[in-house]
Amino acid sequence: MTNGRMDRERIRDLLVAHALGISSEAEREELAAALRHWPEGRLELAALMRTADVLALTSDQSAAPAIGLEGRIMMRARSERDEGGTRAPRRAARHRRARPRRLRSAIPYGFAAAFAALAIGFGVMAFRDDPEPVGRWLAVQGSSGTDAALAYVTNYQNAPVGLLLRDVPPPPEGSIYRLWHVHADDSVLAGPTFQPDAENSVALALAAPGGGEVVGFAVSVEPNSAGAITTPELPTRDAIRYTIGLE
Amino acid sequence: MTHPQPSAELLRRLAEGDDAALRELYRQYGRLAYAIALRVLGREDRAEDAVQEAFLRVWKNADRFDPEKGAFSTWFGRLVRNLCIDMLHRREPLMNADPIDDVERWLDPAGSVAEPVLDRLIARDVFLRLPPEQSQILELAYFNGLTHREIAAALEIPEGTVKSRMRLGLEKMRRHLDGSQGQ
Repeated sequence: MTNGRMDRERIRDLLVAHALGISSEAEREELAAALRHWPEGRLELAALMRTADVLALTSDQSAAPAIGLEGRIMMRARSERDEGGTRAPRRAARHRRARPRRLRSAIPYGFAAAFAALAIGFGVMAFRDDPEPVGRWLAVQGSSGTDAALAYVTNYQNAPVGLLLRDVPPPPEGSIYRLWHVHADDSVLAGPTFQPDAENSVALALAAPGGGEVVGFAVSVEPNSAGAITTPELPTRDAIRYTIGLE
Repeated sequence: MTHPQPSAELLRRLAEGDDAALRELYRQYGRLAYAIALRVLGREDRAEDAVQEAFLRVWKNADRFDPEKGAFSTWFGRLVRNLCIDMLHRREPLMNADPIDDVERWLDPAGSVAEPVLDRLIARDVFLRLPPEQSQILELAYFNGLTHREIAAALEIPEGTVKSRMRLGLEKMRRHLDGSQGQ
Protein backbone atom coordinates (compact mmCIF):
# COMPACT_ATOMS: atom_id res chain seq x y z
CA MET A 1 0.00 0.00 0.00
CA THR A 2 2.72 2.38 0.99
CA ASN A 3 4.61 1.67 -2.19
CA GLY A 4 1.45 2.21 -4.25
CA ARG A 5 0.85 5.60 -2.66
CA MET A 6 4.44 6.59 -3.20
CA ASP A 7 4.22 5.51 -6.81
CA ARG A 8 1.09 7.61 -7.35
CA GLU A 9 2.75 10.59 -5.71
CA ARG A 10 5.85 10.00 -7.78
CA ILE A 11 3.83 9.89 -11.00
CA ARG A 12 1.89 13.03 -10.07
CA ASP A 13 5.14 14.85 -9.41
CA LEU A 14 6.37 13.71 -12.80
CA LEU A 15 3.17 14.93 -14.43
CA VAL A 16 3.50 18.34 -12.83
CA ALA A 17 7.20 18.61 -13.61
CA HIS A 18 6.59 17.73 -17.22
CA ALA A 19 3.68 20.12 -17.51
CA LEU A 20 5.95 22.90 -16.28
CA GLY A 21 8.73 21.85 -18.63
CA ILE A 22 11.34 21.00 -16.01
CA SER A 23 11.52 17.22 -16.19
CA SER A 24 14.81 15.53 -17.00
CA GLU A 25 15.31 13.06 -19.82
CA ALA A 26 15.10 10.17 -17.38
CA GLU A 27 11.92 11.55 -15.86
CA ARG A 28 10.37 11.96 -19.30
CA GLU A 29 11.13 8.35 -20.14
CA GLU A 30 9.71 7.20 -16.81
CA LEU A 31 6.57 9.22 -17.40
CA ALA A 32 6.20 7.97 -20.97
CA ALA A 33 6.38 4.42 -19.69
CA ALA A 34 3.73 5.14 -17.05
CA LEU A 35 1.41 6.80 -19.54
CA ARG A 36 1.67 4.04 -22.08
CA HIS A 37 -1.09 2.07 -20.39
CA TRP A 38 -2.78 4.86 -18.46
CA PRO A 39 -5.28 6.83 -20.56
CA GLU A 40 -6.54 8.80 -17.57
CA GLY A 41 -2.99 9.87 -16.92
CA ARG A 42 -2.68 11.20 -20.45
CA LEU A 43 -5.79 13.31 -20.00
CA GLU A 44 -4.43 14.50 -16.68
CA LEU A 45 -1.17 15.50 -18.33
CA ALA A 46 -2.98 17.35 -21.10
CA ALA A 47 -5.01 19.29 -18.53
CA LEU A 48 -1.94 20.14 -16.47
CA MET A 49 -0.05 21.29 -19.55
CA ARG A 50 -2.88 23.57 -20.58
CA THR A 51 -2.95 24.95 -17.04
CA ALA A 52 0.80 25.49 -17.03
CA ASP A 53 0.64 27.23 -20.38
CA VAL A 54 -1.63 29.84 -18.83
CA LEU A 55 1.43 31.08 -16.98
CA ALA A 56 2.77 32.41 -20.28
CA LEU A 57 -0.24 34.67 -20.55
CA THR A 58 0.57 36.33 -17.23
CA SER A 59 3.59 38.00 -18.83
CA ASP A 60 3.41 41.76 -19.07
CA GLN A 61 2.71 42.70 -22.68
CA SER A 62 3.03 46.44 -22.29
CA ALA A 63 6.52 46.40 -23.79
CA ALA A 64 6.82 45.90 -27.51
CA PRO A 65 9.82 44.58 -29.39
CA ALA A 66 11.75 46.92 -31.65
CA ILE A 67 9.98 47.85 -34.86
CA GLY A 68 12.81 46.39 -36.90
CA LEU A 69 12.32 42.92 -35.46
CA GLU A 70 9.44 42.20 -37.80
CA GLY A 71 11.61 43.03 -40.76
CA ARG A 72 14.42 40.84 -39.53
CA ILE A 73 12.07 37.92 -39.13
CA MET A 74 10.59 38.42 -42.57
CA MET A 75 14.00 38.65 -44.18
CA ARG A 76 15.17 35.46 -42.53
CA ALA A 77 11.96 33.65 -43.40
CA ARG A 78 12.13 34.65 -47.04
CA SER A 79 15.77 33.76 -47.22
CA GLU A 80 15.18 30.31 -45.81
CA ARG A 81 12.16 29.72 -47.99
CA ASP A 82 13.90 30.89 -51.17
CA GLU A 83 16.92 28.77 -50.50
CA GLY A 84 14.91 25.68 -49.82
CA GLY A 85 15.07 25.94 -46.07
CA THR A 86 18.87 25.64 -45.83
CA ARG A 87 20.23 26.92 -42.59
CA ALA A 88 22.97 29.27 -43.85
CA PRO A 89 22.41 31.51 -46.85
CA ARG A 90 25.19 31.21 -49.43
CA ARG A 91 26.05 34.86 -49.06
CA ALA A 92 26.84 34.52 -45.37
CA ALA A 93 29.58 31.95 -45.94
CA ARG A 94 32.09 34.63 -46.89
CA HIS A 95 31.66 36.49 -43.65
CA ARG A 96 30.82 33.71 -41.22
CA ARG A 97 31.87 34.22 -37.65
CA ALA A 98 31.01 32.87 -34.25
CA ARG A 99 27.28 33.21 -33.72
CA PRO A 100 27.48 33.79 -29.95
CA ARG A 101 29.04 37.18 -30.71
CA ARG A 102 25.66 38.48 -31.69
CA LEU A 103 23.95 36.97 -28.66
CA ARG A 104 26.52 38.43 -26.32
CA SER A 105 26.28 41.82 -27.90
CA ALA A 106 25.44 44.59 -25.52
CA ILE A 107 23.53 46.30 -28.28
CA PRO A 108 19.80 45.88 -27.85
CA TYR A 109 19.21 44.99 -31.48
CA GLY A 110 22.46 43.31 -32.50
CA PHE A 111 22.58 45.34 -35.65
CA ALA A 112 25.32 45.78 -38.01
CA ALA A 113 26.52 48.86 -39.53
CA ALA A 114 26.84 49.40 -43.12
CA PHE A 115 24.64 52.12 -44.24
CA ALA A 116 26.10 52.70 -47.57
CA ALA A 117 25.50 55.92 -49.28
CA LEU A 118 22.14 56.04 -50.96
CA ALA A 119 22.36 55.99 -54.72
CA ILE A 120 21.71 59.44 -56.02
CA GLY A 121 18.91 59.32 -58.49
CA PHE A 122 16.09 58.03 -56.36
CA GLY A 123 15.26 61.59 -55.57
CA VAL A 124 13.06 62.64 -52.77
CA MET A 125 11.42 59.85 -50.91
CA ALA A 126 7.67 59.90 -51.14
CA PHE A 127 6.71 60.76 -47.63
CA ARG A 128 3.00 60.81 -47.40
CA ASP A 129 0.28 60.65 -44.84
CA ASP A 130 -0.50 56.99 -44.60
CA PRO A 131 -1.79 55.04 -41.61
CA GLU A 132 0.24 52.02 -42.65
CA PRO A 133 4.04 51.84 -42.69
CA VAL A 134 5.41 52.24 -46.19
CA GLY A 135 8.85 51.58 -47.42
CA ARG A 136 11.03 50.88 -50.35
CA TRP A 137 14.31 49.37 -51.30
CA LEU A 138 17.16 51.78 -51.91
CA ALA A 139 20.32 51.01 -53.78
CA VAL A 140 23.21 51.82 -51.50
CA GLN A 141 26.72 52.63 -52.52
CA GLY A 142 29.51 52.55 -50.04
CA SER A 143 32.21 55.12 -49.61
CA SER A 144 35.51 54.48 -51.29
CA GLY A 145 36.79 51.02 -50.52
CA THR A 146 33.63 49.71 -48.86
CA ASP A 147 31.16 47.14 -50.10
CA ALA A 148 27.81 47.98 -51.50
CA ALA A 149 24.69 47.12 -49.59
CA LEU A 150 20.94 47.26 -49.96
CA ALA A 151 18.73 49.30 -47.71
CA TYR A 152 15.06 49.22 -47.06
CA VAL A 153 13.65 52.20 -45.26
CA THR A 154 10.29 51.96 -43.59
CA ASN A 155 8.34 55.16 -43.14
CA TYR A 156 5.39 55.75 -40.92
CA GLN A 157 3.53 59.02 -40.79
CA ASN A 158 6.22 60.90 -42.68
CA ALA A 159 9.10 59.72 -40.59
CA PRO A 160 11.58 56.92 -41.09
CA VAL A 161 11.03 54.29 -38.45
CA GLY A 162 12.98 51.30 -39.64
CA LEU A 163 16.06 50.59 -41.66
CA LEU A 164 16.96 47.16 -42.99
CA LEU A 165 20.24 46.40 -44.67
CA ARG A 166 21.64 43.41 -46.49
CA ASP A 167 25.20 42.53 -47.50
CA VAL A 168 26.69 44.50 -44.68
CA PRO A 169 30.27 43.57 -43.83
CA PRO A 170 31.31 43.37 -40.21
CA PRO A 171 33.25 46.30 -38.77
CA PRO A 172 36.98 46.01 -38.16
CA GLU A 173 37.99 43.81 -35.26
CA GLY A 174 37.42 45.55 -31.96
CA SER A 175 35.17 48.15 -33.53
CA ILE A 176 31.51 48.81 -33.74
CA TYR A 177 29.31 50.94 -35.95
CA ARG A 178 27.23 53.87 -34.78
CA LEU A 179 24.26 55.41 -36.50
CA TRP A 180 23.92 59.19 -36.70
CA HIS A 181 20.75 61.06 -37.52
CA VAL A 182 21.24 64.03 -39.82
CA HIS A 183 18.58 66.69 -39.54
CA ALA A 184 17.28 69.39 -41.82
CA ASP A 185 18.90 72.08 -39.66
CA ASP A 186 22.28 70.38 -40.15
CA SER A 187 22.36 69.07 -36.61
CA VAL A 188 23.72 65.57 -36.15
CA LEU A 189 22.56 63.44 -33.24
CA ALA A 190 23.92 60.11 -32.11
CA GLY A 191 21.88 56.99 -32.49
CA PRO A 192 22.58 53.44 -31.35
CA THR A 193 25.62 51.32 -32.01
CA PHE A 194 25.26 48.02 -33.79
CA GLN A 195 26.92 45.12 -35.51
CA PRO A 196 25.94 42.82 -38.37
CA ASP A 197 24.46 39.43 -37.69
CA ALA A 198 25.86 36.19 -39.03
CA GLU A 199 24.08 36.69 -42.35
CA ASN A 200 25.47 40.21 -42.75
CA SER A 201 22.05 41.71 -42.38
CA VAL A 202 20.91 44.57 -40.23
CA ALA A 203 17.62 45.71 -38.84
CA LEU A 204 17.42 48.91 -36.92
CA ALA A 205 14.53 50.64 -35.26
CA LEU A 206 14.92 54.35 -35.83
CA ALA A 207 13.82 55.81 -32.54
CA ALA A 208 13.87 59.53 -33.10
CA PRO A 209 16.54 61.18 -30.93
CA GLY A 210 14.90 64.55 -31.35
CA GLY A 211 16.06 67.43 -33.52
CA GLY A 212 13.32 67.72 -36.09
CA GLU A 213 13.07 66.29 -39.58
CA VAL A 214 15.57 63.60 -40.46
CA VAL A 215 17.08 64.05 -43.90
CA GLY A 216 19.66 61.32 -43.77
CA PHE A 217 21.92 59.05 -41.81
CA ALA A 218 25.59 58.47 -41.39
CA VAL A 219 27.47 55.52 -40.04
CA SER A 220 30.77 55.76 -38.31
CA VAL A 221 33.19 53.27 -36.85
CA GLU A 222 34.34 53.58 -33.27
CA PRO A 223 36.08 51.37 -30.72
CA ASN A 224 33.73 48.86 -29.16
CA SER A 225 33.17 50.06 -25.63
CA ALA A 226 30.32 47.60 -24.94
CA GLY A 227 27.81 50.40 -24.66
CA ALA A 228 29.75 52.34 -22.06
CA ILE A 229 29.80 55.52 -24.13
CA THR A 230 26.53 57.33 -23.64
CA THR A 231 27.44 60.71 -25.17
CA PRO A 232 29.69 60.03 -28.13
CA GLU A 233 31.60 62.79 -29.85
CA LEU A 234 30.84 63.65 -33.44
CA PRO A 235 32.87 61.40 -35.73
CA THR A 236 35.73 62.65 -37.82
CA ARG A 237 35.51 62.46 -41.59
CA ASP A 238 37.79 59.43 -41.63
CA ALA A 239 35.52 57.57 -39.21
CA ILE A 240 32.47 57.91 -41.45
CA ARG A 241 31.92 54.74 -43.42
CA TYR A 242 28.56 55.29 -45.03
CA THR A 243 25.96 57.96 -45.56
CA ILE A 244 22.38 57.72 -46.61
CA GLY A 245 20.47 60.66 -47.95
CA LEU A 246 16.73 60.69 -47.87
CA GLU A 247 16.28 63.62 -50.25
CA MET B 1 -5.67 41.37 -24.17
CA THR B 2 -7.25 38.44 -25.93
CA HIS B 3 -5.50 36.30 -28.48
CA PRO B 4 -7.99 35.15 -31.05
CA GLN B 5 -6.76 31.97 -32.59
CA PRO B 6 -5.31 32.20 -36.08
CA SER B 7 -7.78 31.02 -38.64
CA ALA B 8 -7.40 27.70 -40.37
CA GLU B 9 -6.87 29.71 -43.53
CA LEU B 10 -3.95 31.60 -42.00
CA LEU B 11 -2.36 28.41 -40.77
CA ARG B 12 -2.80 26.83 -44.16
CA ARG B 13 -1.12 29.76 -45.87
CA LEU B 14 1.67 29.61 -43.35
CA ALA B 15 2.27 25.94 -44.02
CA GLU B 16 2.38 26.72 -47.74
CA GLY B 17 5.13 29.29 -47.25
CA ASP B 18 3.07 32.46 -47.58
CA ASP B 19 5.23 35.06 -45.86
CA ALA B 20 2.33 37.50 -45.61
CA ALA B 21 0.73 34.94 -43.30
CA LEU B 22 3.84 34.97 -41.15
CA ARG B 23 3.65 38.74 -40.94
CA GLU B 24 0.03 38.53 -39.85
CA LEU B 25 0.92 35.97 -37.26
CA TYR B 26 3.76 38.12 -35.94
CA ARG B 27 1.49 41.13 -35.60
CA GLN B 28 -0.94 39.00 -33.68
CA TYR B 29 1.50 37.15 -31.40
CA GLY B 30 4.72 39.11 -31.50
CA ARG B 31 4.00 41.07 -28.37
CA LEU B 32 3.06 37.95 -26.41
CA ALA B 33 6.19 36.17 -27.55
CA TYR B 34 8.33 39.15 -26.61
CA ALA B 35 6.68 39.40 -23.20
CA ILE B 36 7.43 35.77 -22.43
CA ALA B 37 10.97 36.00 -23.74
CA LEU B 38 11.73 39.18 -21.84
CA ARG B 39 10.41 37.69 -18.64
CA VAL B 40 12.57 34.61 -18.99
CA LEU B 41 15.71 36.13 -20.41
CA GLY B 42 15.58 39.57 -18.82
CA ARG B 43 17.34 41.31 -21.71
CA GLU B 44 15.79 43.02 -24.70
CA ASP B 45 18.41 41.88 -27.19
CA ARG B 46 18.18 38.24 -26.18
CA ALA B 47 14.41 38.41 -26.02
CA GLU B 48 14.32 39.65 -29.58
CA ASP B 49 16.66 36.87 -30.67
CA ALA B 50 14.31 34.38 -29.06
CA VAL B 51 11.24 35.90 -30.65
CA GLN B 52 12.89 35.80 -34.04
CA GLU B 53 13.84 32.18 -33.56
CA ALA B 54 10.37 31.26 -32.34
CA PHE B 55 8.63 32.68 -35.37
CA LEU B 56 11.11 31.07 -37.70
CA ARG B 57 10.44 27.78 -36.01
CA VAL B 58 6.72 28.26 -36.49
CA TRP B 59 7.45 29.14 -40.10
CA LYS B 60 9.24 25.86 -40.60
CA ASN B 61 6.86 23.72 -38.52
CA ALA B 62 3.45 25.24 -39.21
CA ASP B 63 2.19 21.96 -40.56
CA ARG B 64 2.98 20.27 -37.23
CA PHE B 65 0.48 22.27 -35.20
CA ASP B 66 -2.66 20.24 -34.61
CA PRO B 67 -5.64 22.43 -33.66
CA GLU B 68 -7.37 19.37 -32.23
CA LYS B 69 -4.81 19.21 -29.44
CA GLY B 70 -5.27 22.74 -28.20
CA ALA B 71 -5.14 26.42 -28.95
CA PHE B 72 -2.38 27.91 -31.02
CA SER B 73 -1.64 30.51 -28.37
CA THR B 74 -0.75 27.88 -25.79
CA TRP B 75 1.24 25.81 -28.28
CA PHE B 76 3.15 28.86 -29.36
CA GLY B 77 3.58 30.14 -25.82
CA ARG B 78 5.12 26.84 -24.81
CA LEU B 79 7.39 26.92 -27.84
CA VAL B 80 8.65 30.38 -26.91
CA ARG B 81 9.07 29.48 -23.29
CA ASN B 82 10.99 26.27 -23.98
CA LEU B 83 13.22 28.01 -26.46
CA CYS B 84 14.00 30.75 -23.96
CA ILE B 85 14.77 28.27 -21.21
CA ASP B 86 17.22 26.55 -23.53
CA MET B 87 18.87 29.88 -24.24
CA LEU B 88 18.95 30.69 -20.55
CA HIS B 89 20.62 27.45 -19.69
CA ARG B 90 22.76 27.50 -22.84
CA ARG B 91 21.53 24.09 -23.75
CA GLU B 92 21.03 22.69 -27.24
CA PRO B 93 21.65 25.13 -30.07
CA LEU B 94 18.54 27.05 -30.86
CA MET B 95 18.12 25.46 -34.25
CA ASN B 96 18.09 21.94 -32.83
CA ALA B 97 15.54 22.34 -30.05
CA ASP B 98 12.39 20.44 -30.92
CA PRO B 99 9.14 21.86 -29.60
CA ILE B 100 7.34 18.55 -29.89
CA ASP B 101 7.81 16.54 -26.76
CA ASP B 102 8.19 12.78 -26.86
CA VAL B 103 5.66 12.34 -24.10
CA GLU B 104 3.03 14.30 -25.96
CA ARG B 105 2.77 11.64 -28.62
CA TRP B 106 0.81 9.64 -26.07
CA LEU B 107 -1.82 12.33 -25.73
CA ASP B 108 -5.06 11.12 -27.17
CA PRO B 109 -6.55 13.83 -29.40
CA ALA B 110 -9.99 12.38 -28.87
CA GLY B 111 -9.63 12.91 -25.17
CA SER B 112 -8.62 16.56 -25.39
CA VAL B 113 -11.06 19.07 -24.09
CA ALA B 114 -11.90 21.92 -26.40
CA GLU B 115 -9.97 24.87 -25.12
CA PRO B 116 -11.52 28.29 -24.88
CA VAL B 117 -9.48 31.38 -25.55
CA LEU B 118 -7.95 32.58 -22.32
CA ASP B 119 -7.79 36.25 -21.60
CA ARG B 120 -4.59 37.51 -20.08
CA LEU B 121 -6.49 39.20 -17.30
CA ILE B 122 -8.12 35.94 -16.32
CA ALA B 123 -4.77 34.20 -16.37
CA ARG B 124 -3.22 36.86 -14.18
CA ASP B 125 -6.11 36.79 -11.80
CA VAL B 126 -5.85 33.04 -11.43
CA PHE B 127 -2.12 33.22 -10.80
CA LEU B 128 -2.41 36.04 -8.29
CA ARG B 129 -4.94 34.09 -6.26
CA LEU B 130 -2.32 31.51 -5.44
CA PRO B 131 -0.54 31.64 -2.10
CA PRO B 132 2.81 33.36 -2.65
CA GLU B 133 4.79 30.28 -1.67
CA GLN B 134 3.10 28.39 -4.50
CA SER B 135 3.21 31.12 -7.14
CA GLN B 136 6.87 31.73 -6.40
CA ILE B 137 7.72 28.10 -7.04
CA LEU B 138 5.68 28.00 -10.24
CA GLU B 139 7.43 31.16 -11.40
CA LEU B 140 10.86 29.66 -10.73
CA ALA B 141 9.94 26.48 -12.55
CA TYR B 142 8.16 27.90 -15.56
CA PHE B 143 10.06 31.14 -16.18
CA ASN B 144 13.47 30.09 -14.94
CA GLY B 145 13.40 26.40 -15.81
CA LEU B 146 14.61 25.39 -12.37
CA THR B 147 14.14 21.77 -11.31
CA HIS B 148 12.73 20.65 -7.97
CA ARG B 149 16.22 20.28 -6.60
CA GLU B 150 17.37 23.66 -7.84
CA ILE B 151 14.33 25.41 -6.43
CA ALA B 152 14.83 23.66 -3.11
CA ALA B 153 18.42 24.85 -3.03
CA ALA B 154 17.48 28.38 -4.03
CA LEU B 155 14.75 28.72 -1.42
CA GLU B 156 16.48 26.58 1.17
CA ILE B 157 13.50 24.33 1.68
CA PRO B 158 13.17 20.54 1.36
CA GLU B 159 12.70 19.13 -2.12
CA GLY B 160 9.55 17.38 -0.96
CA THR B 161 8.10 20.73 0.05
CA VAL B 162 8.87 22.11 -3.40
CA LYS B 163 7.11 19.21 -5.07
CA SER B 164 4.00 19.46 -2.95
CA ARG B 165 3.68 23.25 -3.30
CA MET B 166 4.26 22.99 -7.03
CA ARG B 167 1.60 20.32 -7.38
CA LEU B 168 -0.87 22.18 -5.17
CA GLY B 169 -0.28 25.46 -6.99
CA LEU B 170 -0.82 24.00 -10.43
CA GLU B 171 -3.89 22.07 -9.35
CA LYS B 172 -5.31 25.17 -7.69
CA MET B 173 -4.76 27.14 -10.90
CA ARG B 174 -6.55 24.44 -12.80
CA ARG B 175 -9.57 24.61 -10.47
CA HIS B 176 -9.67 28.40 -10.73
CA LEU B 177 -9.52 28.21 -14.51
CA ASP B 178 -12.27 25.64 -14.64
CA GLY B 179 -14.37 27.90 -12.46
CA SER B 180 -13.72 31.05 -14.53
CA GLN B 181 -14.64 29.21 -17.68
CA GLY B 182 -17.88 27.99 -16.18
CA GLN B 183 -16.91 24.33 -16.32
